[in-house]
Amino acid sequence: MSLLEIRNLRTHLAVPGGIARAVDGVDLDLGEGGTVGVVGESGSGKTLLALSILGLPPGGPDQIIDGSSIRYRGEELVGVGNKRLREIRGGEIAMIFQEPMTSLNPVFTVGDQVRESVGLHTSLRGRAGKEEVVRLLGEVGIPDPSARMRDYPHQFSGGMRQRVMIAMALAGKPSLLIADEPTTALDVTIEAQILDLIKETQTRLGMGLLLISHDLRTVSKVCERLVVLYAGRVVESGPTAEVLASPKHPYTRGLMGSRLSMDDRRKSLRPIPGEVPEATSWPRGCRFHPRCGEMIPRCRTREPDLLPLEAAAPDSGGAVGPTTGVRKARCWLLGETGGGA
Amino acid sequence: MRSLVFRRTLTAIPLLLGVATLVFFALSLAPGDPATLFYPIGASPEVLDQLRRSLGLDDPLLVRYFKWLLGCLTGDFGVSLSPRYYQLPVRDVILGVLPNTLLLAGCSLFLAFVVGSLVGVFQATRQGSLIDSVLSGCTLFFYSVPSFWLAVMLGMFFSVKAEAFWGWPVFFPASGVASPGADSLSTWGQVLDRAHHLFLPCLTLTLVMAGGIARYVRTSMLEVVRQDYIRTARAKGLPESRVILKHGLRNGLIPVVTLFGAYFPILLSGTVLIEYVFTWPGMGRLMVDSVLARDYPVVLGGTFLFGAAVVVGNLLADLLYGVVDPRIRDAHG
Repeated sequence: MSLLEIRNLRTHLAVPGGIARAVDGVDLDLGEGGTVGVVGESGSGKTLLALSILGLPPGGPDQIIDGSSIRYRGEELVGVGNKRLREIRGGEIAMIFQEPMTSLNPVFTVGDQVRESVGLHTSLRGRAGKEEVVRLLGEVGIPDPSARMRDYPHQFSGGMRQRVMIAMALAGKPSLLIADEPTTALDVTIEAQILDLIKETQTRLGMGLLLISHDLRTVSKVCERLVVLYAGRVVESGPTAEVLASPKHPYTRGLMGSRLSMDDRRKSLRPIPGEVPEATSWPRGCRFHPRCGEMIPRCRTREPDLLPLEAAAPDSGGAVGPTTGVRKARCWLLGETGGGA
Repeated sequence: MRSLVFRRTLTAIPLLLGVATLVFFALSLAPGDPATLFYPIGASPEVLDQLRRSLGLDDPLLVRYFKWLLGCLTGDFGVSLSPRYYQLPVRDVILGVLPNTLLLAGCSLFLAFVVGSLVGVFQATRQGSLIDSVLSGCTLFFYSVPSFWLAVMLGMFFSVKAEAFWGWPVFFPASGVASPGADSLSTWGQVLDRAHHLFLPCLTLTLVMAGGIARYVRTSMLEVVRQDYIRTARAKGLPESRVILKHGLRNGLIPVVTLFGAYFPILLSGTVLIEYVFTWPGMGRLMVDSVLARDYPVVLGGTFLFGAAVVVGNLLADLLYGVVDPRIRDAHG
């Protein structure tokens, strides 16, 4: 049984100007202890995907459309009662957010905020609860935790606040950690430390990790599998190394061309032209076609399906479990049946 | 925090001195001779001179100013000139009515902040719903109507025409602080009688203030519930009630502290219009009566007290900011 199994997840938001189909039919699998990276530009639906898993889309769980399915260890989370959902939040699935500067409540001490999570999801109270907070803060690398737990968030740097967020996430001993752009708001020097901390903690505690980022490099450092999201849909997925070695979708190639390489200094940047269209009116046909340099006439009229590639590595399946496995892509260039390009 | 209290309190001292100075000179410039008002028209100049001398009015302005400052420090504001409080020390005149104002304004302030905050939070959690719109209409109404009009209307519905309107006797007294002969009641009887009289003026004042407070809290809470830390609170599995009442309200009330500072002075100044309509013998009424009677020592003393209340209100608001918002505590600590 996989840890997380998402099928046809659609989360639509009512916005001025219509219905934003921000997450629009996403499939995603994550095995116990596995790591999956979700990559895409701003507006591709990454954050909403993560929030939907916790039943926390901005307008409430009702925005998850009927027919969507999110299974956590086989338990359906779409439509589950509030009480169970609250047990799952923080207790089974914990999340850390992009903005450590604003994600902590400014008027409570960090100790109080971590302790709140401890109190919600464990039986530790009083002195034991306090000791647990100190232990958690120490575990995520906060020096002198028993003194610093009495400080307020504004007395911490961005990196330290993100460590507090991680401690808070770990308080409920979750089996799945969702990290939504955890390093985007941080200095580059801190970024590596926080990523290492997340990766190290994930391995040590055997948690599943869903890492969301706009940066392929970040994800490739940490995740076994990669899911590329565009306009609310998965356009390509597969083992990270394979996807990066031979990206099949023009959008994935575009993302790779949009970053500087340390290895090849002569290579120039090839950014993807334009930006992600409005979620209220996705383009007809393939949603990427207006920005695609390799468009063929069919792309304009019909949307390709997300199909397995024949070239999927057969030997990677058994080694790491269900987290690796088949490669899929959504592109007409790969042929009607999805055969190798 | 201790240094914040110390520094803010220190800065209040020159402010109070400024208030005392401004009040004194402003009233010295006002036309009219208290002596001529005190004695009937046609009193001989010698008698008037003698009165001026005994009141210290013949001293040079600066001498009177320093006497006044000294008086402010010792709480001695002179004696009343009005026939009503004949030669009673101003302090005693003020202390005689201050409890009435403290009772009315204190109860109203407390109720207004409790009711206003609750309504504002409730609306914010149901933004855009029918009940939100209805309550917004109500708060706008109470916030905008003149307080004396509301006082008169409530007086009509609950007192003067209560029986005709409701069909059964609902009666709350629309004037005074106690029934005639209340002195002979038991202690509890007196308390109940006072509360009975307090009802209408307190309701009026509460509604007027609560309307503004509710609108303020609603706006503030709508801003707060969009913040990232609210999402964090939900993501850790907190029930919605605790998300709103713990993580939300504590932040949402920070700007409301300003309102507290602004409303605080009514504890000492009273509210002229409402006290007049309900003939509530408080500071507001005393001040208006004293102005009309040219009882300038009482006006001076009262005005100084109001000014001091504004300074103290702002001081309290500053300190409360420090209590509710740790960032401010540090920035100034």
